[in-house]
Amino acid sequence: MEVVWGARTDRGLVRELNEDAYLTEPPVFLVADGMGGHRSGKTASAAVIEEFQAATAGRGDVQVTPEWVTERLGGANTRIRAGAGGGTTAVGVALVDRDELPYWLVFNIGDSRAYLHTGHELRQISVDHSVVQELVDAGQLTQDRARFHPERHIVTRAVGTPASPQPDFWLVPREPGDRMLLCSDGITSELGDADIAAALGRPDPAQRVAENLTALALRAGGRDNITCIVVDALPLGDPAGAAPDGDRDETRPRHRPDSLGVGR
Amino acid sequence: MSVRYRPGPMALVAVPAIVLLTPDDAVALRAWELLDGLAGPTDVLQDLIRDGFATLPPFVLVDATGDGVRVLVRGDARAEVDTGQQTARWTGAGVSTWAERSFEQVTLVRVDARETAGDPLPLRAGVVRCGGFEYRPATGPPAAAERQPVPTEVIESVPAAGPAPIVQPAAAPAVAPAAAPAVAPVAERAVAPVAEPGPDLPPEPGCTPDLAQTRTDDPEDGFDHLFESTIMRSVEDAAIREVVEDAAALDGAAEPADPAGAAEPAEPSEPPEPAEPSEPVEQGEPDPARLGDHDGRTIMSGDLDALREQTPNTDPIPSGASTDPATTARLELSTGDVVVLDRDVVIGRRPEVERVQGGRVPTVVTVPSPQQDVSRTHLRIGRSGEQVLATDLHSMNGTLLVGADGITRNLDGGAPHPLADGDTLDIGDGVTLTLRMP
Repeated sequence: MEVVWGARTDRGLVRELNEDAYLTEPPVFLVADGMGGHRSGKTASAAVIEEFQAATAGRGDVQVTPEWVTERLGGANTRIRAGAGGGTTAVGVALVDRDELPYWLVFNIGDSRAYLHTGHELRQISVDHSVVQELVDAGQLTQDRARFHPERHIVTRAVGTPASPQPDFWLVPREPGDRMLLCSDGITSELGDADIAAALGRPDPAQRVAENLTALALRAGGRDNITCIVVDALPLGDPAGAAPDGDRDETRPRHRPDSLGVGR
Repeated sequence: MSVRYRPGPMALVAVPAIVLLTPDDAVALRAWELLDGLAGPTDVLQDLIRDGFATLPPFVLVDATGDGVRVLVRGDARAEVDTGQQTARWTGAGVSTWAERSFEQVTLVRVDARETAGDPLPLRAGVVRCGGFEYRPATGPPAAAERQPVPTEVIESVPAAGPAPIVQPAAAPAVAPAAAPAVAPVAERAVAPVAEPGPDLPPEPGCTPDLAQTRTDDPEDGFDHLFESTIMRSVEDAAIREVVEDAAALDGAAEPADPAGAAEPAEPSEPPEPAEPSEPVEQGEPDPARLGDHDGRTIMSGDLDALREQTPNTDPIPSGASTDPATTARLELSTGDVVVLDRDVVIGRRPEVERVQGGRVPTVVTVPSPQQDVSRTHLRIGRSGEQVLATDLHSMNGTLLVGADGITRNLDGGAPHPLADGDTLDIGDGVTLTLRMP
């Protein structure tokens, strides 16, 4: 299955530096949001990008596994700690096959995010490593209020700490028409899910979508660096979409006499 | 958002969350071009001042694109902002640039500039002839309580992440004196291009000597330098307070309250410095937005250093061990496939693996189901020590366990069930899996 993608990064309206960085090197797509003073955030996010780039550049046949991802992040971690310090988030997606079927291998550490738009719904795939997310998980805060919480920018896990980076992973079936969004919190702290869903739901090319999202985040205030990557899974030989797709169909309830004890 | 305007001689430009009133039609039309093209309030401001202040026409700009609302008034227009608790009124008369106020929450902004005619009319977006207007944010900002740092009871329920130590009064003496110079108007607003507050202007609320008290009483003020900048904190981190103290000291050192600093050239994208209101704001409250919004990147460095010493080096211990089929449990599928249980296995018509936090990512096994009887993600089989556990993942049609002991039962959705050697699982459409233990 072919993919097409678009990406955009912007310093925003307030920050002096753009400490975000991104990589679009199939089969890997990655957004890193650096943090730390004295330019160390910029070098930290760049270290992650360089680690993945060195391992993928010019080699479209890289077989990405979770262990491979963790090794790359570990390499970046070592470089950051030996160098200028700082820290960075990393959210990414790799195009992989499992059991001969296409998958999105999503990985995340920190509070950048991965969203999947399937044509009719938006799903946030990644779960933030943040103080606010812990409050949400504990039932102390609703998701729609989390965006305004004073501690919303405090992450609990990152690349650049003494502990080896431990990303979370997801394996999500990759279907024709899927649209994956990777973004830094410069998008998600300015735009709600409805705004993001609307932008992803429009039949625009991926690059246009990335530019629209960036413009919307700037207009909403642009208080942080803004970065987004949009990756579209195209049906083979049919870039216009509308391929037959039975895999998203619902499972059919089984009809049999003893279904009382079975069906759910 | 809702804007209601009274017809009059000026031009009112409105888009969601941004309203501009000015008597200069050319300025209004340029602003409309910018805003209609997705530009932000900063772009409008930059356009306004592009020819300097001498020719800058009077205007009122309401900017609600951020968390709060800020209102800029140039000239003798009179702005009135109701925060729900009190009302602030001011004009831009006598100010060489404009008078700006920021508010955390606003219920109503009212601007009366010139004689108006007729009843108020609603406006969503566009440019109209106007003499004055009222603006109400669409949805109130988050309730005040939710904008405060985490309440104590929340901290207690999430002790690992609780920021409680930050706001203890003990922190106040260390924070306040060091922070005060950095928050003083000149140092804080080093990007101001021209604003020259007259010597007779009243002191700004919030930058008065009661600053220390304010910062102690309102922890949010003490931490707005953390806002927007992503920072790291270990879950176990209980020493953020000393980080903040360090940060305040560093800030004070790095940003001396030297008036010369104010002469530095403006950051291009930074909105110009507002001048002071020419008359005292009624019931002037300390304005949190004015107490400093330095981005605190100095702080993060210290935070990271502290974090380095505090975070234990905890590498994940991979679950599952041997991959040798001869010594490892395995599943024999009716499809002919054999799956070694060296890690968890997720089985279904098109299985998805939910969040994996540490440990190994499960193997996915796709099985054919022409009748779509098998759910996309149907069943998970994993190890717990020597035991093999099967969990039906709330599948549509369930999982039937045909035990090696001859007993047949349905698995409860979501509940792990131990399997024995020879047990067979029936997930529908003729697909079965049989466990073989070494």
